[in-house]
Amino acid sequence: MEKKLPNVFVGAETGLIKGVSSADGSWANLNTIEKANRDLEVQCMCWGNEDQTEICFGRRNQTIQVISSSGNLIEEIDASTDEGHLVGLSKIDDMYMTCTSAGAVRLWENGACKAHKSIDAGPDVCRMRSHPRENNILATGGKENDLKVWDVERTSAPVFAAKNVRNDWLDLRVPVWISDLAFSPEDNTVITCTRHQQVRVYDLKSSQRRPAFDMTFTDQPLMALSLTSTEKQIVVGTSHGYMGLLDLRGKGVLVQAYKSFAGSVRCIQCHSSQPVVASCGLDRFLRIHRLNSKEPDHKIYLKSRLNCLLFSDANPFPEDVKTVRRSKNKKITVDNSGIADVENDALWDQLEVVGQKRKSEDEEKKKKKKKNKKEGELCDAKTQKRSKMKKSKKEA
Amino acid sequence: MAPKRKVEDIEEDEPQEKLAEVKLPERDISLIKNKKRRAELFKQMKREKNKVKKADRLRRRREAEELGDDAPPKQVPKTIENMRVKDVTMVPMEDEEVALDEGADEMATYFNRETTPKIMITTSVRIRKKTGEFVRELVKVIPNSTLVNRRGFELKKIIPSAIEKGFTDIMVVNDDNKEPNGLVLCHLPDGPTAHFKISNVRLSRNLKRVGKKSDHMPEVILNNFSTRLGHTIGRILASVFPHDPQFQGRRVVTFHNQRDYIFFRHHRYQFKGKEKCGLQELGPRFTLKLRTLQKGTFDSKFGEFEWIHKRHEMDSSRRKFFL
Repeated sequence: MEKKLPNVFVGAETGLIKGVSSADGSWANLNTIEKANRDLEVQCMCWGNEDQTEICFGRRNQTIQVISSSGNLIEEIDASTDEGHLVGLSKIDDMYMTCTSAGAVRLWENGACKAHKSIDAGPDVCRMRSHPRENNILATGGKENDLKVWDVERTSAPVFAAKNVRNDWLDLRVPVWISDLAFSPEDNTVITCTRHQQVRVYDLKSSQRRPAFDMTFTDQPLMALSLTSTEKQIVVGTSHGYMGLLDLRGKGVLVQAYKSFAGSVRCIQCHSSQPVVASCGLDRFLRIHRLNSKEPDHKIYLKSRLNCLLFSDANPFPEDVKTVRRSKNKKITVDNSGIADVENDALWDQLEVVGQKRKSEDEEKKKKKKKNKKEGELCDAKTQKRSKMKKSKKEA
Repeated sequence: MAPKRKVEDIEEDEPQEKLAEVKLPERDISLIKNKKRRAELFKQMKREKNKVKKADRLRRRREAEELGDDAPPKQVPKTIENMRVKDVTMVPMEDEEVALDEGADEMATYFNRETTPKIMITTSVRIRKKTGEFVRELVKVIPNSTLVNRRGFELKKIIPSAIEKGFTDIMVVNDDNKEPNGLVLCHLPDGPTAHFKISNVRLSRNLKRVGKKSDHMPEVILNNFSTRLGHTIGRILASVFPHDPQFQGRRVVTFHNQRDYIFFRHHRYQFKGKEKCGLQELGPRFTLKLRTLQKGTFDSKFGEFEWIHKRHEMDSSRRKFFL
């Protein structure tokens, strides 16, 4: 069988990058390292170009490496600042933006730091993410370091700084520990999940700095989140190996729980257009779920503890007609080709315009009434006949 | 039982033969409602079955004796272990990546002989007699270990001070219902933490013909830790005991994994001639079962778990094991 191109890239604790093909579940290491070292641990990843053929990843020792999807080393940059480990990495045009756990956000161009564009985001930052559309916007959050949205062009103060929620019913301060966050560009909001089990949505448009939406999910620390292609729906993973699809409308509900996890979920990525989600974590497995089924389509053992992953825009299941395993015995075929559209058009052609339909319906109703009347008469005749028959039988 | 023949059938020849051929299904004993009769029939059935089995065994033995070396190989009984569900995480003999991973893990400093184990043994806050005795025996089994009175301190506060004092592991034995029932084994300074269930504790004084424990460094035997998780657990358990066993002491500590239950035994061996070897148990005995493996030092609230035993989800097959 022909080997499929990898479309999921996973960064491991040993410093290896693994290219996985979600079509057949095959995988290979993209880079080689002679000696494993804690300092080489891959901690964050991002795409190096629009075509998603280059992968940038940041290591614990604050170096950035860029490799092609076939595994060739393209670039290596030393992005070391004072202390801490990398918690965020993104590429802006030709520059790399890094953030360390000590809160130092830096821009790197041609291997040199652009000092005038550096931001100090405060201590114990757990995650930095940049806006998917506007390059100069980024958000940070961490332990006792609430959400801050920054503009690279205006480094002195954050564009948006969240305010902690009101004290609880005992009038105690609610602790802050943001573990992951994501920009939702459609409605200009930031969604965060915390180690204190909260999922929160901050509205950047409004003047209100407290979360516009706040819910708790499970009794376990939330570790990672990812937006799905559907609006207002996110996938959240916990440190006890629990992952669920949440709908953030109204009070927020769990739509689907996913199974087969044994350890903490470190990173979740939903596919950009299809209802597929990939997740990895400390139990050394990469899992690829369809959003509407609890059992994974693929559960791939990748030998090292996994920290982060990238899910490319390519079709995760490229065959036109593929078989989806729902249960052991049952196989359902799903058709992905354009046949569906043609069928749809045909269906629309068949339908009548609403106004016309009503008129015709009324006429039909009248007809029906008439019919019923006739039938009623007929029925009476029948019953009379039956009673007559019975009588004749009795006599016999 | 022969089927009853109807009078009509006897008159005709052909259907009579057909009836003789028809075999009635064996009677299902479990459907008999009279308990006494059911028991009798069951006993009878069992006796007959055993008879057949015995005859078969005899026949096979005789055949083997007659054929000598050409005899068919002995039948291997089917067990849960040898029908084990295949596990993808099973570590092959030479796996570069696993070796790489293990070379950089938290226990690597012990295996590189950079640290020597120093163990703090403590208990849950209020313990009863048996747990106290058990802990005192553990101290005798594990060299270079000290028993520390818990005195109501939080485990999360004990850990930093233990790191400061140079301890490499903390063992916490939990007491419930006057029995030790849990063991938290936390490797220092940065994890991992394993949580076991303890069952079937038998103290030395309850064992027959126990020997006296000596102060020699024991040898450690780890059996059947074959998956990736098993490897980690094996490494955690191994790193509790010092590197160089004193072979003249002939003391051996065994962690034997069978069906995810880890059996602890403590023996002294003695060579009796060239082929015979005697074992003397020194005690105690207990069984461990892994509940969770957590990354980092003990933190049940915010810690990240590498593996959690989820009973309803994971125990779908009796033939599936994780260690």
